Amino acid sequence: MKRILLVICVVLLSGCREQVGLKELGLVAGLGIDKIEDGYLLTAQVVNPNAIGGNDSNALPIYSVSAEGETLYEAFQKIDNQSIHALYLAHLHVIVIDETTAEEGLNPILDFALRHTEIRPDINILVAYEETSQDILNVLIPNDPIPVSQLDIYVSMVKSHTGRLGSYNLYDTVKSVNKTGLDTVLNAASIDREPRPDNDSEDEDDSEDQQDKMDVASSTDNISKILPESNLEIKHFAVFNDDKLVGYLDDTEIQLYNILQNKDKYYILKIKVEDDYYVSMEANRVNTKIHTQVADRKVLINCEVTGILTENRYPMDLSAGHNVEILEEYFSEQLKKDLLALIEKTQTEVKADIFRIGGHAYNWENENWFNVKGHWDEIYPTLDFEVNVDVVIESIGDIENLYE
Amino acid sequence: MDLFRFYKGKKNSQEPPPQLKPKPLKTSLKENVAEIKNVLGDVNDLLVRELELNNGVKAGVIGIDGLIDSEQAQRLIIYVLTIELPLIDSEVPQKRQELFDRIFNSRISMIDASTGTDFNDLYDKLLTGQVVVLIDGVPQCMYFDCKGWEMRSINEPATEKSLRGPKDSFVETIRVNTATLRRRIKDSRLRFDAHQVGSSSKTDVFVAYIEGITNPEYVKIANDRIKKIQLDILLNTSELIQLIEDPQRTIFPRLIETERPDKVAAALMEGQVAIFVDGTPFAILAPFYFTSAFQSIDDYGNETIFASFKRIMRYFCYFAIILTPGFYIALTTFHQEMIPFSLLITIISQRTTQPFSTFVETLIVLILFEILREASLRKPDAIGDSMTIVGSLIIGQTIVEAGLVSYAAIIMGALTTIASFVVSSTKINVPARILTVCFMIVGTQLGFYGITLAFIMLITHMCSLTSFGEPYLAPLAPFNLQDQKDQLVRLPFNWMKKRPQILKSQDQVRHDLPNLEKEDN
Repeated sequence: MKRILLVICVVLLSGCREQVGLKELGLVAGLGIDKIEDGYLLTAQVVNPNAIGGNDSNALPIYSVSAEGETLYEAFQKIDNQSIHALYLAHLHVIVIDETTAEEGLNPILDFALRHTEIRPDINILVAYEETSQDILNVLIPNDPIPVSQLDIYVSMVKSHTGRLGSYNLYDTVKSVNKTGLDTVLNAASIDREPRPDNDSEDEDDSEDQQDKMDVASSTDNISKILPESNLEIKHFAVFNDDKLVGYLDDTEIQLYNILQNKDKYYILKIKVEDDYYVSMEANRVNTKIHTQVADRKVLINCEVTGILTENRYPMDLSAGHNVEILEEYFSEQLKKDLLALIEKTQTEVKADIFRIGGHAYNWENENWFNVKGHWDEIYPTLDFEVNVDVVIESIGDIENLYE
Repeated sequence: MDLFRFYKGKKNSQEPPPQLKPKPLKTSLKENVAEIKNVLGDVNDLLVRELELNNGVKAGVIGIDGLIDSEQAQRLIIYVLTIELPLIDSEVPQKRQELFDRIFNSRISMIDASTGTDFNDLYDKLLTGQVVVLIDGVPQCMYFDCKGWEMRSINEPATEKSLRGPKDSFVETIRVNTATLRRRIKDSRLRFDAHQVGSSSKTDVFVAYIEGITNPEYVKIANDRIKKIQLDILLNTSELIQLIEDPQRTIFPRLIETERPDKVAAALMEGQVAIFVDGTPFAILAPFYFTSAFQSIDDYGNETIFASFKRIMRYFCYFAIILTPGFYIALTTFHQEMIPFSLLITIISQRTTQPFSTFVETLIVLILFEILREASLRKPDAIGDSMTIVGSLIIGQTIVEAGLVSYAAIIMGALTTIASFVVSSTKINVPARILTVCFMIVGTQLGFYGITLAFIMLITHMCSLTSFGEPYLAPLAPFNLQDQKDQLVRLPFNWMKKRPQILKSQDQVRHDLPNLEKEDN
């Protein structure tokens, strides 16, 4: 009798409290956060499964809802109430934040995102480069019905081996964001809207033109063209000092950054020999060692890069071993110059320890580190870097020489 | 004997079955024949032949038409009595008793013969197909066994098919079955304990075991429980199973039947008891432990690795039957975060036009498959094709197009049904299909939390079951390392030198094959 009572209680009293029918579910693929006067403007990109599943091919695959609020959660509740669906964040792909929010600090966003029980800690967080995050979310792109999942693929899956991209998810970010000596670099998404030859709105003034293009970008007009007018791209990388945005790197600089981070990715190195001949190689193995001597304000970086030759316009016989060594010399010099330039940029321009020199000091000379930790921001720009680069060309490809 | 505590509560089962009053045969042949005709009624299959021997002594030959081999009876009994006896015994003794003994002892040459003096005994023998010979003036009768009736030839097993194993199965005649078994086990220790169950049917029930190997406890339990049965008619092994299995409230079978002689032979040699029922082409194996339902005879014909793989598949399928629909429902109602993003979009887009919840639509599909399965079991062969078309094409295709259920639900239903065919034993299939619905209900109410809870309850329940007093989930719970050699995987034969320890056989050592490595050295 007791058992029967128990079964009845379980079945009838459970009340299906957390039950959500699939039909009521609004899958949020992307969240955009923009700073406004007193609070945030939150934009959610919600998937419309009917358009993707083929029931309703005229409908757009996504729609956006946005609301303002003094706190992020308040704004989220407002858009949840506006939407006909129950917004579901467990399948969120990316969070996009605008520059103003990033300059003010990542901490409020990270707190909201990690505290929310539905949001996964491995989603990507992006900075909208010279755009509002709402605009980034509102672009329709041709090859993926859900635009932000394209961004997600960019930064996390397929392209994660290219040296010209970073991949930093929420969890990586939060591990380093508030620590001295471990500064963060995040991907920054932008909209590529180069004027096309068939564009007839050239003579209009710039801001109106921009507005016009945005209208096109967020409608099906954009995806019905072979060469879409607007597309999403990641070409810049936001540099943070602590949790505040301080500057950007471009895609060649992020490559150097990845080399210094000792990451095995595919790097494109190119040199110009004798001011005339381009030679390029693809590096896929990196061995970077950073030695710090914070007491003497010295940092020694040894960098060994291995790869294969991919293009050679310099007329020399590569079958002779020493000629390859000459090329290696050229590559090493060029890379060393580039690395030093990037280091100088971080020391003078953005003043952020993105190479995590402080982290190395913490690991290898712990006692000294605690002496300098308190004023690391002042010490970092004064560090004296010594960089040794050794480029090794493993293979010269299938042919030895095109020129006789 | 704590095992039999469940019998103690019932008073009437303690009493022995009422004994019939002895009813001695009469001296006069006429009176005897009249009595027999009176008791059996004037039935037309009762054959009574009254003969006159050479010295005028009257004799009667009685049998039941259809149960006896009349050609044999003609040649070995009537011919001897009427033609041969006068020729040889020209000086027949006048004493009737002497004549009786002489005929029985030295004239009628049949191997299975006996004498009797009681009417009740006579009826039993007569109705089981023996020929009764009465001599006028002697209050005694002779019984000769010349059973012979039409029976089914030995066919391929219908329910337990095997690819490489032997292709014979049991038939309805118990003697043929015991002979089939004897042909496989040429061991002097093979024993059959005979019982008769059913006051009217008087069905022969044999308990087969191997003395010196089988734990005598099991033989005792089997014999005791069969003796206590009070029933008018026993037609089936399945009925007998329900009468002798441990009385627990459960949907799981505590005993299992098989139609394969090789399986019975293997089970006997491992120390199990086999119970045969006349009139059924099955044998019951006892004690039954749950994991043995996953051992197919093909496992022993195939290579070790392949056999082990197939066995793991079978376990997997059994869990798939129970859990798949419940999992699907729990995923779609509570745990959408666990469905891959693109799949979730597809499922949602299909579901926007569905009128029912995932639970209801999965239930519809399962009931539909259950109807199809039942129909295909009972259908005449001639309409098989049209049923396939109606079942699979029309219903399967249109039910989705009509918007009653979604594709995902059809997939779940089909997966469950096909998986249930992999687990060959229908006896453990049925509880799994009932549990499917239970897990669906729990899944739709409580999600994975509920499924986990229900699964723990299920395992706990199964651990509490016993078969002939042995734990049902042995050797998994209680765990026995030695017996794992033939559970989830099947190890090579020369590794299995001992009989399963859960069966507590008296002779633990199965064989003493040397290991292959040793042979090489």
